[in-house]
Amino acid sequence: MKRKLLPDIVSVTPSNYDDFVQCERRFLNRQLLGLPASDAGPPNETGLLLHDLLRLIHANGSCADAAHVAEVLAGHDADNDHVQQLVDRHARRCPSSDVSGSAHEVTLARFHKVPPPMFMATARIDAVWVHDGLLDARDYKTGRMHGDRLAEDAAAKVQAFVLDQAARARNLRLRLRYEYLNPDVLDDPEPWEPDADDLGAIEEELRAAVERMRGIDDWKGVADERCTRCAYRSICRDSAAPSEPSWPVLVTAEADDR
Amino acid sequence: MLSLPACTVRFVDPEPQTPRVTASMLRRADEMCRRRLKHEHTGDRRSANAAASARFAVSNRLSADARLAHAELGPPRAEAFVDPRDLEPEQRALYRAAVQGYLGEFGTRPGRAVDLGWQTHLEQTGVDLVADPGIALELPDGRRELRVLSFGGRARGGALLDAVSRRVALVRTAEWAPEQLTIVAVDLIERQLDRVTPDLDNERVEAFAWINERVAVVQALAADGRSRAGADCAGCAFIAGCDQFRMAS
Repeated sequence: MKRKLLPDIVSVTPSNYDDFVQCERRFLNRQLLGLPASDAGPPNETGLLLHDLLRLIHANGSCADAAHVAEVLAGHDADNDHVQQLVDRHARRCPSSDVSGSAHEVTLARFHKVPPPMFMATARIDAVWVHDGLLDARDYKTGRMHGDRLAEDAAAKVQAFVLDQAARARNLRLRLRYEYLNPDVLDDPEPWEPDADDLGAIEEELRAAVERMRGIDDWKGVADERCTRCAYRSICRDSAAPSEPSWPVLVTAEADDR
Repeated sequence: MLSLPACTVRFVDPEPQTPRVTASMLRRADEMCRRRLKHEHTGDRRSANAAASARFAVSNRLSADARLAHAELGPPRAEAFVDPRDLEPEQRALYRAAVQGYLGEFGTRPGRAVDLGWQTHLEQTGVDLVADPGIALELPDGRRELRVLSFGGRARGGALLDAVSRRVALVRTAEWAPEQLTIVAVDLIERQLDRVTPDLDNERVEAFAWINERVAVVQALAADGRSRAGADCAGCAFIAGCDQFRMAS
C-alpha cells in the first residue's frame, strides 16, 4: 500500500518550497519525513538573536535612536561590536521614520483552492512597513548572498504570493526586499515589485509544483555538487557526497545510580 | 420486532467525545487560532486534510519495538528491534542510530513495559489529557521508570524534557506510579540523557494544578472560536468552512 506522505492540503512555505526546487529528496527528508539533519551546519545563533533584537527595538522605539538601541542590546547581553554593526546596517535601510504602519515577525497565510490541487501557503515575514503607497516587506539575512534576483528566488516567490493578498486588501503596491546585514555582502539584491502578471505566474508555478508533488512515487535526489552542502548528505539514498552521519556517540552526564 | 445486538446501537449512536487537551494545546493555546483550537479541543472529526503520519514513522516504530523488547522482565531483547525495510533508507538510518542509542544506554537494564494508554481523564475539568508519556517500565525491585525518548532535531540548548512535558508525564503516571518515579529523558540521536527523580508529593500537586489552570484557558479560548489566518493554517484539518478562506479562488 502506498504510504501517505502529503496531507490533503499541502502546506507551502518559503523554506519548504526552496527545498523542493533545490532537491526533491531533501524536501522528502526534511519536510515530509521530518528527519533530523545528519550533517547539520553551524548554528545561526547570531541570526536568531538579531531577528529578536530588531523586533524588540522597533516594538518600543526606533532603530535610529542610538540610546534606545544600546539599551535593548545591553538588556539582552548583546552589546558587542558585531551585533551593533548588524543593527547599524539595518538602520541605514530602515524606512521606519516615515511609515504609517508596521508589523514584525508576522505570519501570513493564503489559500489556493482552484484550479486543483489546493494548497496553503504561509510565510513568516520579518518586518512589514506601510509607506508611500507600498507594503514594504523585509527579510533580514545574516548569511551569505545566494542570488541577486528575488524574482528568481523560490522562497521569495512564496513570500510574494502570500504578501500580495495583504497588499491588495489594503490597496497597496507590494515591494519585497532582502536586507543583507552581513558586512561581507556589499549590496542587497534589487527590491522586487511583482506586478499582477508576475503574481499570476507565481500562483500557477506553486500550483503546478504541488501537482507534481502529488504525482511523485520516487523522490529523486539531484546527486550533484549541491549534495556537498546538504544537511542529509551522509544518509541520503541519492547523495553524491555520502559519509558517516555526524550523530555523536552516546554520553551521559547523570550520576549513575543504577 | 427484531432485536438488535447491543453493540449496533453503540456504533450508530456513539457517545459524545470527551473534550481533550494535549501538551501542545497547554503550551500554545494563547497564540493558536481559536477556531482550530476549538475543533481540536472538542475532538471534532477532521473535515479534510488528514495529516500525513510519515513524520512519526521512526519514533512510533522505535517506541513500539522498545516496548516489545521489554515484554518480559529482563534486559531489552535486541531481536525485537527489526530493521524497518518498509521505510525509506534515510528513515532506516535514523532508526538504526536510535536503536544503537537505546541499547547503548539501556541494553543491560532490566525492566518490563507497562501500557499506560494514550489518555488520562481529568475529573476536575472533565477533559482527557491525551499524550504518549513515554515507555513505562517496572524494574525488578518494583520501582517505576519512565523513558521519554526524542530523536534529534531539538533547538540548540533545548531541554530534553521541558516543564510542560514534565508536568504531563507526572499526571499521566499518577495512577501507575503514585509513590516513586524516575524519569529518564534521552535524545537517542544527539546522545544526551537526563535522569530525574521528582519530588512526587509536591511536584504532582503542582502539575495537576497547573494543567487544570491551563485547561481553563484552553476552554475559554476554544469557546471564543474566532478564526485567525496565520501559522496555524498550515496543516489545519478544518480549513473547510473557515471564514478566513471562503473567498479563496
